[in-house]
Amino acid sequence: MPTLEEKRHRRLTIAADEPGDLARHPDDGFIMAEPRPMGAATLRVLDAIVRAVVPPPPAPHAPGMEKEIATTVRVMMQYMPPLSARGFVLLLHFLNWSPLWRLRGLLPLTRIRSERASRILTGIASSRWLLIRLLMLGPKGLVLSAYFDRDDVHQVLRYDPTTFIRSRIELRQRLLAGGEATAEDGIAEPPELTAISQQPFEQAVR
Amino acid sequence: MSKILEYADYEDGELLRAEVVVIGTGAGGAVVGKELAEAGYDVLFVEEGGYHPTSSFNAFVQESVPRLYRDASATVILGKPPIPYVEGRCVGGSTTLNGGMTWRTPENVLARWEKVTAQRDLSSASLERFFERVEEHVSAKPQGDYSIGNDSRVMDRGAQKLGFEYLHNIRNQDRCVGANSCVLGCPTGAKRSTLVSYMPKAFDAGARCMTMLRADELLIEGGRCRGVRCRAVNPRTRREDKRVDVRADAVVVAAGAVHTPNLLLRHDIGRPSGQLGQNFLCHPNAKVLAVYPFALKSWEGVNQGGQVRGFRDRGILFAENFVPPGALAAQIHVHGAEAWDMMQDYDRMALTGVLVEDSRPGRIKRSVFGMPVPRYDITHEDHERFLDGVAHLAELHFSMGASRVYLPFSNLHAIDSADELPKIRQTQRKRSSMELFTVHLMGTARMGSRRERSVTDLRGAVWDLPGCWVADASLFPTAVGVNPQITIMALASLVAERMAADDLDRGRLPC
Repeated sequence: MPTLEEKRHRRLTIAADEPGDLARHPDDGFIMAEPRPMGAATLRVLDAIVRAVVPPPPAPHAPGMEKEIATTVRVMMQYMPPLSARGFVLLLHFLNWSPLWRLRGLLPLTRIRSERASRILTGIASSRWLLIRLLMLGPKGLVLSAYFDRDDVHQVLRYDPTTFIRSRIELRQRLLAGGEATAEDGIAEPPELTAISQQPFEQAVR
Repeated sequence: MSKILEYADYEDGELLRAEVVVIGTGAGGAVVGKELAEAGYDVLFVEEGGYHPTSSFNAFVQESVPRLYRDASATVILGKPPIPYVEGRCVGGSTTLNGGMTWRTPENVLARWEKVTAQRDLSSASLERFFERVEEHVSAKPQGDYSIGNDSRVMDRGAQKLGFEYLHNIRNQDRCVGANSCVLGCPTGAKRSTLVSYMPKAFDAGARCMTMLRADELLIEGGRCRGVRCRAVNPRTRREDKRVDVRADAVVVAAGAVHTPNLLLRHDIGRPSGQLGQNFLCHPNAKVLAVYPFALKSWEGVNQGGQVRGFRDRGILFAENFVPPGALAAQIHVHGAEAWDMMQDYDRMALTGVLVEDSRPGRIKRSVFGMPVPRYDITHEDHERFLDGVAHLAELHFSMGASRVYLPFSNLHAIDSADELPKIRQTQRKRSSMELFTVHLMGTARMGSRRERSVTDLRGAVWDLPGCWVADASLFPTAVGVNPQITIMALASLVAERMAADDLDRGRLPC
């Protein structure tokens, strides 16, 4: 097994344009940040917000998924400027008490059911006031991004980029070796798109 | 020994020397560094991000964003409305993760620059050879038919139906096969970002690159820039726990239009004109997401096959730009069950956008904490152009059979037919209800021929700091109205040539 140092050396010396194996976590000696340390109270708030933001079943829900998403959010926070990351923690606590300041109840998000918490956060995200709406921009973006980046979710969405990219790398290797692209190498066009392309505007919009 | 160094290779308090230190490895820094290295200078790049070659790229957002993007993409321009933006933080900078469009600066923009600077240096004729040079290096050419995907077909044919001009993109690519993962780093190696084009040539010419090192302040002695003080970021804890100084005869700042002025603003320079950090331009974008009644699989095929240029005279462009679900979901207006309902249509979606050329600039300020604070407000004129652009683009999608179009307005999220297009005008009164986004940041250290009106001269040299040059999109006197990559590269090429020419005159880099 190559050591971390050997993997790092290989990454720093390999040809810059040589394709790899498309692995989700490239084993190339690059060290990702550890999740941002958080106190138990903040972790509970983050967990509550994750539960309220991720789609509920029948959307995919693997065991331990919410914990994994919370960990991903904490890793992402490490890449923010330190001040922004601290601000984000404060924002989480502010959102936790949103039932109170939205006059929707006396209990924080950590103490209410996730369906209800989700509805309260929806009210914030769709507020007519820009400053209120903006409160949800970061938390919603980070949590949903982590959720919709999962393999089990991709499978249900019929999204399989790795198989496709692998086939395109093979095509490019063929082209680089002097081969010609054939009609089969093109991206398949759905017949419905072909048909509607031939319809005039008035007919198409009806 | 590798020419690329990272955190583990540094010692706290280390001092390195070079003839030229270049801060940044994107479209500006990589070009100027490579040209000077090939001219025989000892060049050392300082890059805040890491080195991630093609072999490390994949289709997953959560792995790629921390590696490649600044601040995990949590970057926002303040204003009305606030505009999230992204930029690269890795070797190759934003060229590693952009769409790879290589449009030259339009003639009318260069004519404006010539007028603004009252010199011919930035005229079309003067820049021609720089454009030719960089286009050759990055292999700028049209896409092969085999790489065109269905979202590009939708845009092309919809534009034809409505009589809008559509131009097929020229891109920096060599046999691009349309893997459509540009935004997470091209996994095939086809996109000729500076990571795979300029940087390897710079290394071949002897340049070195110090990665994971943030330029913190310039070293200024006797009124002259003598180097840069950097902080190394511990990859595990993300704490800046090592200090590294690089001393050099010349310092080239190419950290992008937000961080270049932020670094310069730390010092009492760039002040004769008061223009440092001013003239911030960003080509704001509004996303228009269409859902079709049949599967498009927009992730298959080149990320942007062309652009609708029919409204270029009004400073408006339309283009497609599909992104992975992990990136798209971060931008939608709903969460929970509603987000799932919406995202289930992912394979039937086409993500497109309206780009509006800036009519009034914003500015960058440096906060007391050292962070840049970008500020930009769209004007009422911009707002009008967005409303027109969004309506035309939605019309284009309905003409191609879209069943629903999601709009970039907080109070009108979607319409289901062309009959509902008038609702856009009826409901949109305030700029604050627009949801915008941008990736083109420009103009905050503008070049010019008079020190009272610009930050650098026409060589890219900072007027009031000898030994310091700028070579990135900060130099733009005005917005370019198209993807800025090739313009940045051409200007960086010009800066490198003039630095070397000065050296020839004086026997060494100018003091």
